Amino acid sequence: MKLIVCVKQVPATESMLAVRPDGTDIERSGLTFIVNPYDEFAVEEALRIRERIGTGEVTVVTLRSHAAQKPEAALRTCLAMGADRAVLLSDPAFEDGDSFTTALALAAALRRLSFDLLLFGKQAVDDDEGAVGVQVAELLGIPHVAVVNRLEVDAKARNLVAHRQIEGGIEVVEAPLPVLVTCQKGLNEPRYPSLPGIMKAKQKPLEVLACHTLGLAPDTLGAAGAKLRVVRLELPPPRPPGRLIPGDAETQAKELVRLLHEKEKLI
Amino acid sequence: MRRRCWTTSVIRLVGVAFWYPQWGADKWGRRVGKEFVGEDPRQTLEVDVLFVGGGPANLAGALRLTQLVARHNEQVSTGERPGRMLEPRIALIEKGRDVGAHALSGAIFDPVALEELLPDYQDRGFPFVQPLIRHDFRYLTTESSIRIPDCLLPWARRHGRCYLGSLQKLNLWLGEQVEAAGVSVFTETCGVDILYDGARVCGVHTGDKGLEAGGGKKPNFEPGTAIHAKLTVFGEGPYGTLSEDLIHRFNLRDGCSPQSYALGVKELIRVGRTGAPGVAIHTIGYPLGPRVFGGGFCYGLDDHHFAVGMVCGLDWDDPQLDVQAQLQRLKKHPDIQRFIKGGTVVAYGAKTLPEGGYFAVPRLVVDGAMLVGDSAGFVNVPAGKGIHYAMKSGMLAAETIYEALVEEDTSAARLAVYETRVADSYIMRDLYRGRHFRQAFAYGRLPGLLLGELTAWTGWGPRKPRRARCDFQTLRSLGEARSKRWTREPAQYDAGVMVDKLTDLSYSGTQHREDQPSHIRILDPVRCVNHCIPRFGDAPCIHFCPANVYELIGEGQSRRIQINFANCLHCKTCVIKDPIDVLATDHIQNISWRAPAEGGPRYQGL
Repeated sequence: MKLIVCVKQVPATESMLAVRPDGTDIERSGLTFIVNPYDEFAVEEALRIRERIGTGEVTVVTLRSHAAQKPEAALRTCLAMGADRAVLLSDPAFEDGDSFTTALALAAALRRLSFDLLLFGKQAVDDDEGAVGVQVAELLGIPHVAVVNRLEVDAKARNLVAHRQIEGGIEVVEAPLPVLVTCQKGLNEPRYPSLPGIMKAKQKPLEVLACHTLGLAPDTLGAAGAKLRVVRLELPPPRPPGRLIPGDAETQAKELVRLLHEKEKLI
Repeated sequence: MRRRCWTTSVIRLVGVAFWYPQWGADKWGRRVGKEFVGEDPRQTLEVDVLFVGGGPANLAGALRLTQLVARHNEQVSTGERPGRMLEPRIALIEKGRDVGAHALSGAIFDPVALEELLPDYQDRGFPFVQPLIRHDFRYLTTESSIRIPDCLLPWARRHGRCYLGSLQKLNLWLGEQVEAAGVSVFTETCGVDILYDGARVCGVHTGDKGLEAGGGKKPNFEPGTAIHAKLTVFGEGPYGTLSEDLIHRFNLRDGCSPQSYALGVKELIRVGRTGAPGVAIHTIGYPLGPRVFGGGFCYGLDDHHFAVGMVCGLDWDDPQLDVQAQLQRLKKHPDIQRFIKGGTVVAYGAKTLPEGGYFAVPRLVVDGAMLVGDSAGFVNVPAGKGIHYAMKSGMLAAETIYEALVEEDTSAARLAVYETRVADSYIMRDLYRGRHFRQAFAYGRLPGLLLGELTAWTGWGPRKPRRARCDFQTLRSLGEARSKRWTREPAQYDAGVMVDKLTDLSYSGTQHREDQPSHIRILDPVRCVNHCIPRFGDAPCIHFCPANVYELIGEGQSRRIQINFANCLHCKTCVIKDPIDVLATDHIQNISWRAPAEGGPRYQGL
């Protein structure tokens, strides 16, 4: 069974972001990048499916969406976790695009690689769009199940049962392979790469695909083909400082009630 | 004075003895490592040389070793040199998420060692781009300041051709160079035990990941790996867990002064307008009292960033001294305000640094292992520099390792050449010259300054150390403390540049899983309540910890210390400064800090 996981490298969640002077993007140089946490669930699930079935191949695919990224490191992390193959889509034409151009490039690459199951994270934690996975499914003409937190794959019957969390309940979906699934937190607990795994990952080759090998026109991709234009980015306004009410418990409580009643008019 | 009842002491001792094995049967004291047995059930990794810790010392050492091996192999292949080709497997482990994630320094960087290591460093994307242009040394009073002219400064304070920048970035860059040279770099991998084969060090054990708070295994449990190495180099920074284990097991500090430390806290502040790139200001005086050794710094790193920090010698006697709060007071001073006004804090971190100098440098070599960098204490206190000494020590270690590999002899006797090399290098020359500087400050700030500068300037002074106390012995009760002149006035916080400790902490990016086992333990919590709190008014750990790890909760009899280990910045202050010496052996404090297998700060740009 061939499993392909698409991952994205995102700025580390604790990064202190700054908006570039022209206001259309964040300052990306000097940032630390990590594998998108939702994509780690997808990698882990693919590895578990491979382990359960006993055979199969897990391929990780990523696309360099900005020049400052180091997607090789993200692929090495996934290989160290246990993936078999890694494919990197790297071309200046792919960069600075939107979710549509990313999906276009990924779909073109995925058509060249055969697969039975495609796994994505439900969204990347940098722009939080959650759009690439479903767009790829649409472009490839296969069904998709989004935001999955439990997955059972039947390799013989070539179908899967996925549980999705919905408002006030769980939706159980059955789908025939090939299918695209986007993964939600709670699906599994991603493994830690072992030292021998990291050693082996360093030996494995990375396949690099460029725009022309995929037979795509550069003007439909990246910044040139983007259907979305960022007009302006702003940081949220700083939070005003909290106030500490002095005194013992009784005076504190009295003062709090007074403030809530008279100043904030909440009670 | 209350007399100590011996039965209570015995009961306590027995209590600790019963308690300790629960944590790990082989962890009595900090000295006993794991005995290496031939059949290890865990996964193993065989390497020739293992560098423990990804700081400038080990990174420079690993890079130097690859260079020497490459040169050797080239000479062998052309027939210039007899012998066989060398193909050592070299590995470096680092507990931070990336190389440099746990590294913090001012930093003024003297490129002398780097020039020797990589003569073309400027063409390789060297991250220290801002040369030091102007240096000011100021004595601060509450409102104004006096500039101390350069001519009065000893030789060491003159920062010749130096750069201002971030140690984290330097390490990250060096890590890339090291990895490109063929060294296996393992990040997020922490050495937790030294492996011994008899009296010989033969590697380290890395920590288990995926443990629950109680020690149970989570579904993604990943056992640690035994990394077996012919040679292990310990460069874990100040008070390295394994380095200290090694030092105590082999009594490497026999005949030395005890190591003394300082705590440095630092913030990175971004300002909107153009700053003052290349300007470095060092201050003494306000806000510290006259009995505290230390001072502040403010470096203009680039057009928009300032590094502002405060360094205090950990031998202070005030149980309520809080260095982070002192930093906020320093930032209020007009001399610093004029640079950082209107800015915002973007990063925060804390780290100890060894300040014992020449007299506290331990023996550096045992069978199969060496100590480098801050773990060995190579910091020149009067110059306020240590990065290039660390790098040089790593390089000297690498030269010795290379010879040992050629001769296939890794015994302590063969490795002892490293000690001679260090002694003959500028590391020990500079440390010897400044050997009395730090010690002189035990007499107070002004006599210390005069005496210290004089001895550092002239190099005069006795060859023997002044008797020094350990840092944990210096706290006095609140009434007796003499270092509190300005330290009592509360710090003022606002929404902008003046921030409290917890807000600051959020800028450090530190993360530990809340459900992982705590890496910090109080061995005998009863003594906190019975000894510390009555003596010091409240617990000193809640003040000296720059990360709010310790919290005093409860009232009256039910008061106890709560450990918020997830806040920890891995600075090691607690284990150095904790006043309770549990077994009266000088090196087992009531607070026990072992490096955790997961988590830690994630410094960016510090």
